[in-house]
Amino acid sequence: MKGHLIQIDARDGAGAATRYLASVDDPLLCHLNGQQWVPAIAALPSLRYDFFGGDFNGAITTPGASFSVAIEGISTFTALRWSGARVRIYTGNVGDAWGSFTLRFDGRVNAEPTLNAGIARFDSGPDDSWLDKPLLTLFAGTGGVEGPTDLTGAPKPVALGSCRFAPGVLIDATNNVYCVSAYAVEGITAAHDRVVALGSSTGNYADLAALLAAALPAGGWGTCKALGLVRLGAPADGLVSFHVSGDNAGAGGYARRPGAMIRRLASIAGGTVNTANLAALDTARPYDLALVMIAQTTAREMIQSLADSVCAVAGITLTGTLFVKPLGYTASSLTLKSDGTALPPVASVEVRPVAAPFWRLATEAEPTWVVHDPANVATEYNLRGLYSASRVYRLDDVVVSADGSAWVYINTTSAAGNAPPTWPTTSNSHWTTVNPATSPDFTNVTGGTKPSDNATVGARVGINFLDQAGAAIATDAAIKNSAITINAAGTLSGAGAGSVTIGGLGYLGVLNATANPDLALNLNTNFYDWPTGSIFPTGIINNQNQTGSNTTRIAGTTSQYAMRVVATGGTDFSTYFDIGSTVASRFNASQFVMLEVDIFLEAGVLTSAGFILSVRTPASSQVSSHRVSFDTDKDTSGAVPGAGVVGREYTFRKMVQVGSGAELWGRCFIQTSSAPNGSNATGRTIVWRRIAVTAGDDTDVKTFGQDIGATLGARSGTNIFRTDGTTILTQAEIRTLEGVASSVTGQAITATNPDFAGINGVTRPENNADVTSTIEGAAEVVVLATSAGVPMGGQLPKTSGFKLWRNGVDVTTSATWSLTVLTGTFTATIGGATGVLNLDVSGGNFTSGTIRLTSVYLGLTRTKSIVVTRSDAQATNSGGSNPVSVSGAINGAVSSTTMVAVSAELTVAVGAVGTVTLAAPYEFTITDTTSGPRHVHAQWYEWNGSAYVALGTETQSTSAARWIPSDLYHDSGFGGKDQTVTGKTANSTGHKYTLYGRCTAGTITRFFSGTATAVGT
Amino acid sequence: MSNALLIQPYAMPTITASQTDAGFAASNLSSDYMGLTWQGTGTSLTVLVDLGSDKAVDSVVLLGTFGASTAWDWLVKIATAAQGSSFGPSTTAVVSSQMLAGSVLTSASLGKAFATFGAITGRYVQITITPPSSATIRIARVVIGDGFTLATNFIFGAGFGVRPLGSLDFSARGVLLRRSGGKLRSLSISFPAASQSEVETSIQPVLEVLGNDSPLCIVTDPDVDAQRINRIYFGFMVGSLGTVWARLGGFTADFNMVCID
Repeated sequence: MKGHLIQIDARDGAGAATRYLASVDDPLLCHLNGQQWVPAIAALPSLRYDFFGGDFNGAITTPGASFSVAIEGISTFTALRWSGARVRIYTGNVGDAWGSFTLRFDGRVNAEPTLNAGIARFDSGPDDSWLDKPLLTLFAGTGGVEGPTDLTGAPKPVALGSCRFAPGVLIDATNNVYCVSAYAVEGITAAHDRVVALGSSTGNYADLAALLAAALPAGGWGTCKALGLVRLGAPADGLVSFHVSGDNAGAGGYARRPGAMIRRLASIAGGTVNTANLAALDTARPYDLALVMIAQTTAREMIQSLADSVCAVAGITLTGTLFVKPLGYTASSLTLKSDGTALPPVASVEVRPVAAPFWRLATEAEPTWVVHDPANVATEYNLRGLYSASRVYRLDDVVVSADGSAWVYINTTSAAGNAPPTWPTTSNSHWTTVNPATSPDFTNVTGGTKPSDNATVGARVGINFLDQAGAAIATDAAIKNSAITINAAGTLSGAGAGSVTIGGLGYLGVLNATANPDLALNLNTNFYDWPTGSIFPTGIINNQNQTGSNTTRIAGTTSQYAMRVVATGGTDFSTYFDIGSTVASRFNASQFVMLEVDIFLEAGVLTSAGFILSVRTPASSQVSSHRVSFDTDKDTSGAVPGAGVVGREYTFRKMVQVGSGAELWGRCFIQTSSAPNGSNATGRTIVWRRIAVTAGDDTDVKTFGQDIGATLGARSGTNIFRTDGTTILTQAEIRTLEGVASSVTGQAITATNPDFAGINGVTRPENNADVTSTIEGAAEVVVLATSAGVPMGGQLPKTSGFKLWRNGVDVTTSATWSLTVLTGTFTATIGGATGVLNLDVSGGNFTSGTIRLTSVYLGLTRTKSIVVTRSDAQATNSGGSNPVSVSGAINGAVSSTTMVAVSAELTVAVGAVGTVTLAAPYEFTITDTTSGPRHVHAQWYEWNGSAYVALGTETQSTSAARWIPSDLYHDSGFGGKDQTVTGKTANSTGHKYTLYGRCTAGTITRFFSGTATAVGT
Repeated sequence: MSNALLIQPYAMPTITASQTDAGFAASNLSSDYMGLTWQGTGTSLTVLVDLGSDKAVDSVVLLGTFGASTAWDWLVKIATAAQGSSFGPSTTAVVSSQMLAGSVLTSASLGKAFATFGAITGRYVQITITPPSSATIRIARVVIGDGFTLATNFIFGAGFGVRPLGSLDFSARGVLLRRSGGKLRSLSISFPAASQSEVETSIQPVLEVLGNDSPLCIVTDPDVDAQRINRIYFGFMVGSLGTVWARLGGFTADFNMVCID
């Protein structure tokens, strides 16, 4: 007879209260396994399975068990807690030993049993609660692998199988550490930043400490597979993802097939599985899967998903063990026969309703676990803008250089500080070109301000000066300036303030010499164009004995090249070039041209060396010849070099006028030695640096007029004219040029240079005498003082301005000022560049004295003596009934609109009438040379015993002072201030009065003069 | 042949044993689940029953014994509450004899012990089992009571049967559909000549107390006999309980039992 035993691990208030139940009232059953199994089972357990229902609803179904018990056999039944109690059901034959009994069910009571008529009904199911618990462990937020505080409670990711583009959780922003799986992983094969691979891993490290200590290059990455961690060598640029060979921490090792993955999930969740069953699943479904869990989930959901993905059914056995069975069609293993010829016997046969068939289409996909929106997906090339030396660049990053060239990063090691090459170099170990340097193209630009195509505007250091074809005219090194500008006068200048000529820059084009006198008529003036391998600069042709053995291209000073000619003694050496040709004229008839030659005497002598311009007709008939003879002509220093000094540079500028004729052209001879022009017996080495024939302009004519036979000696009132009637020099320019005044009409031409060597007589000034310089300013500076000789308040420090005039020009600030105190006791200083005198007490004393001012301008010294006067107030008189009159000087100065004392203090006795009559007629002057009237205001002040207080009202001056520039003259101003004071107390010791003044407006200093009087009655 | 003895078991609040094997509590001796037994091992095993108060005792029955043979003896001592449960050496045994009631065991190979004696008032009943040598014995139930015997025995023709609890059926195609189950002895006896006094003092009170949910022990023939074990019934009365005043001065009392021993 079959016996059933049920063990229920109920609980009561004291703890566990297990109850044992038996289905048969037999000691052979009721005392098995050392327990007392109360034969109180009223209804045998009913076990059931509910498998796949055909609807693929994604739920792992669980079986159930129900049974009934007579509560009489269960002590303290109602005091027990049954819900959730573990239930185990054993079956066996009554009389068999315990070991023969089989555990049929192991689960938990679903809810408190129902009780009716002493029979309790229990419903229970296997313990599959582990399937519904949160599967992923949580970050504790305690640092390290537990992440920062803000990750507290966030689930740790888990990766199973070979996962592509799996995400990671940043657990250490400082060290760029990501957790890709909460447990040990098989491997991490690739790291991506914005889906850009970061190359190979630097290595794997045993633990987090080792990973953090590893020296990872920027752009590199390392792993700690034991903890499922990845560390990047530099902060990520965007969303990161990884290729992960996932979890291998379970008993089955690297889990990548469905059975193994389910086994690992069950292990994580704390469930039990049928290992053999899952191994069989892997055999039946040998497919490698991948699964990344980043959000909290349950094992039930994940296992069901995995089972569904391989067309298998997951379930829980009656004993709580997970199993997964692949669906399939196999031969039947049991045949039921209703005729009783096979067991188990068939009680009845009936046809039950059958639902419609289900089917499903297979769908295949390769999941990616990170969704990259467009912003998080790097294109093949990642545009990074202008190159920055401090930025870390990675493979396929694209930058542009300042010249517009674009470069792509080709080095697999990400790094900073590797600059792209300079175009036209196309690559280096880190970069290769994707676009050449750009040039401005104004094809589509219109308007009046449009620059010419390929114009180089505001070119800076590092950019060559380009011609219209885009080729370099002069390199940056050749330009030697940080910038080139064209000023309002049309002069091309470098930032170093040196002017730059087109020819100096190696300009090779045809020039309009007539329009621009600064341009040379000949080409290759500086020998800039001298191809390597050529004996001579372009355009230069041998004339006499010059070959490659005596003519050498060397580094130049005015351009990159210069021509070095070694001439042996006794032989002529020369070359020539043409300006124009027999069919191309370059000169106007009688045109003034400048012959410009720069040479360097390296050895020997200059004798017979020179440069010749031979002007010819189209028939090659010479109409004029002009030579610069280095040994007999003056160089630009004004000296005649003669044989010359070895090691010196000589520059010659000679204005000549070509002959008459039509369609003239020129042939120019470069003569290192030329017997017809002197002795060539001595050898010499001359370096030719520049040869230019330029069109002469007015300035050239002015400077070199002595060579052109101009109509000098013209009378006053007559300009110097060209042959076409246009003016070369005006009268004023003639006067300036000759250094004579307009009054010397008809003076001889020899007055060009001031030279009084031939002048005799007592009135002869010294050489270079400056007869116009003068120091302007007050000859006397007055400081008002009390009768005791103490400077009155506001008097000191006292300033007084002085100016230096030369030829009517104020050169005060260009002169150097100084002074010497000749007599007196005071402190005197003067602004070295302002001419402003400052007076103050010295050691508490101030006495009258004399100062000598000195100004030095252009080496010429002018002096001026200044009298310093302390003006003491008159001593008090005895007063009385008769009028008593006192007076004092008005000699102060004012420089602001604030009232200050300008007269001596007047102390006047007052008699019985009690009246004081004050009068102050004054003048005032200025030294300033700005136009406009300058007024003053004046007012009488009275001493009230502790301070001066104003009397009446202030009065403006009657006439203003002003500067009259046409006459170079200062006109004085004047005015007066009278005041009557009545009601004064008779006082023999006197009342004190002082005249005050101020500028009506402005701060230009006004100097008062005059006499103030006070009459007391 | 003696008249049948009917014993109403006393409640036994406390039962202790001198030695109890694990998993076999002494308290099982008062349980009506015959599967729950007490088991002890030794050369002298003592079971002490506390009736809670002094009561008249004239019968002691041990049911569902396993392991004992006819060579085993037992002693039964009774002490009042005043005497206490210490049972000193001077306490006289009321029973000292072979333990098994007969030599023929039940079909389940179980034995029974039975003793009846003149009624003694006491609270504590001490049962000592003495096997010839150390042995293990298992006992399912102890019945202690003050039985009664009617002057006129039950009539012949008493029913001795079995209540089978299994089932048997056949499918529509004659295939056996069987479920095995337990087989319980049943007893149906009738006392046709009970007196009014016997009904009023013995039968009716027993019926009122026991009903059909409390056990009753009937020994159909208390005399010593090899089959006496099988003449001891312990179970529950079923059917209508009561007596019939069948004639003048005579009652008929029927007892139908399903036994669990």
